[in-house]
Amino acid sequence: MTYPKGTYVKITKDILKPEHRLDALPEVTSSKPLTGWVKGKLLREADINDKAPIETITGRFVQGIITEIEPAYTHTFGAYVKELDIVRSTILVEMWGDKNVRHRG
Amino acid sequence: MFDTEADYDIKKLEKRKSEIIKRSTGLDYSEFETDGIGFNYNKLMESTGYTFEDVINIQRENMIGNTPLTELKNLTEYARKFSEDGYGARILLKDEAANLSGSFKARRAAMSVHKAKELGYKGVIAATSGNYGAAVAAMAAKYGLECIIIQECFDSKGKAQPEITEKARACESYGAEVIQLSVGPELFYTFLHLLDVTKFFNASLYSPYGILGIETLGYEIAEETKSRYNKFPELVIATNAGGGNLTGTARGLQRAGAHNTSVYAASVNLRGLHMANDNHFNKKSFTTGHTGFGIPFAINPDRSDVPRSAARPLRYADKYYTVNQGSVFFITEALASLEGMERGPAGNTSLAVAFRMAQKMKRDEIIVVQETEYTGAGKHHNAQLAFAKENGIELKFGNPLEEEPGKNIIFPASGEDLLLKEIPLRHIQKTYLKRYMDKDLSLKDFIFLEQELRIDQDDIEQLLKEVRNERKKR
Repeated sequence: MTYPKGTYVKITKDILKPEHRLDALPEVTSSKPLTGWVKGKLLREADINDKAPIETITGRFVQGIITEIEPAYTHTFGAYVKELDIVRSTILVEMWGDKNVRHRG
Repeated sequence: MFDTEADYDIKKLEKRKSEIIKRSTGLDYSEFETDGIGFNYNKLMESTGYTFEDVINIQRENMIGNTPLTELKNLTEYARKFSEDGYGARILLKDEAANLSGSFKARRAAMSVHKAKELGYKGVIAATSGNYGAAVAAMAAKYGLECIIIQECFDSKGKAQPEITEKARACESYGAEVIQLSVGPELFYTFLHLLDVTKFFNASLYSPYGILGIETLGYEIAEETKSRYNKFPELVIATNAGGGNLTGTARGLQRAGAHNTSVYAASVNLRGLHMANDNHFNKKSFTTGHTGFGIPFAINPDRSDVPRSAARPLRYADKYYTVNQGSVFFITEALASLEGMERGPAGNTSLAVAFRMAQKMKRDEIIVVQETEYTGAGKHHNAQLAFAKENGIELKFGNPLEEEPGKNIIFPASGEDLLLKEIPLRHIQKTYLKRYMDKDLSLKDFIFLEQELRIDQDDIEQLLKEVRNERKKR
């Protein structure tokens, strides 16, 4: 399947190869390329994983591999954290006393 | 113009660095240089072309400043439960989340972006993974300028820090282009390259515009405390990373005449985590306000993205405290559950320090915590703790000073157990001086160092001697 010109996508490209990175970096970092991601609109039709040019919101033209079509925001407030519940009840008990606290850990 | 493939050559960019900085800041930094190691800091700070009144006006026009200064009566009462009789200072909080874009960074962005507009630039660029990006993007939206924000966001496996993902969303909501990079200090060269090809303005966090913008914060704290409590605060605590927050606040306090107010730096202790290490990147629960920025920038302020940083915390900090991640999460929860204020978490680093300091200070004394920041998906303390668990970090209760960043997060089991660690300024001053140990320092050099470190020549010579002796032993 291909997506038409004008589709909003996220692309990635390697900006610096490992051999072009700065000296004196930890090996786990320097052994990998410096990689970038940016979003914009396709300048020609293309599919995910294709190399394609986009125009970014500031009008720059950038070429890279398409990683997402119509990229979404998916970050959240996170899963339930039991320890935070304990922190909260500790604070409430210390502040208001045991009897007055409804939410006990 | 297709900006493709291998984007740039670091060595070539390095050679053109000063030319690019000059064109993109509107400042010729060579004008501030003096003979020897130093430069003229006052001249740099006076180079903005703005009076203090201009700053206030520009900020007011843009919904920045005059944020509420609120007395945290419950949190103060909570601290007093662990204080001896007569102790337990009042804790006041400056709710900087009320600024445009949700943090004190708006004060800095206002001045940079205003300058960019005034000088006729088409757009602005900032290299930041934090609130500053949203602040610059929001101001650029108001002034009708293009905006590019460059973030260090992903480890090489493509896993993003949720807090930084949230900042990207905020920037994009204000119409900015966000370029997200994998881990590495070459972000600076990507930044230089983009300044070069776009001809946009460098909205550096470390320019004199950015620091001047924060002076209003210190000034407001002094004025408002004085009018409500009939005295200046005894202590103001600033969360410290790049040093600009503390520098600007302290300068603003002095401007208002609060010369006897102490200013303390506070950072989250991330000892053992290397900032340029790909594996360590997602093991930390704080992306700013931590020692990984705070210490290196105090030791060498000029490692920033301009030749001479206007943020120079050692010129203003009276003490430097660190606090562990678990304690900052603890106090973030206390702020929500006792004061009804959901903020932070990184901005609450100074609040954690204040909670402990209050217990050691007299009841009639005043501590001001000089910022809050907005919270939201990704950056909320619940989000950060859930992310830590996903990354194998153990959450436990116990002695916060035993926390091992990257391995565990230790919450105090009681408010009483929230403890701090002081980094003696002398240690930081000594490390600062290491780079001069083999240099013949002139009288002018010593005068500069006295201003930089706030110690006299004898002390400087003593520290240099210690550094040399330590080298001999090795």
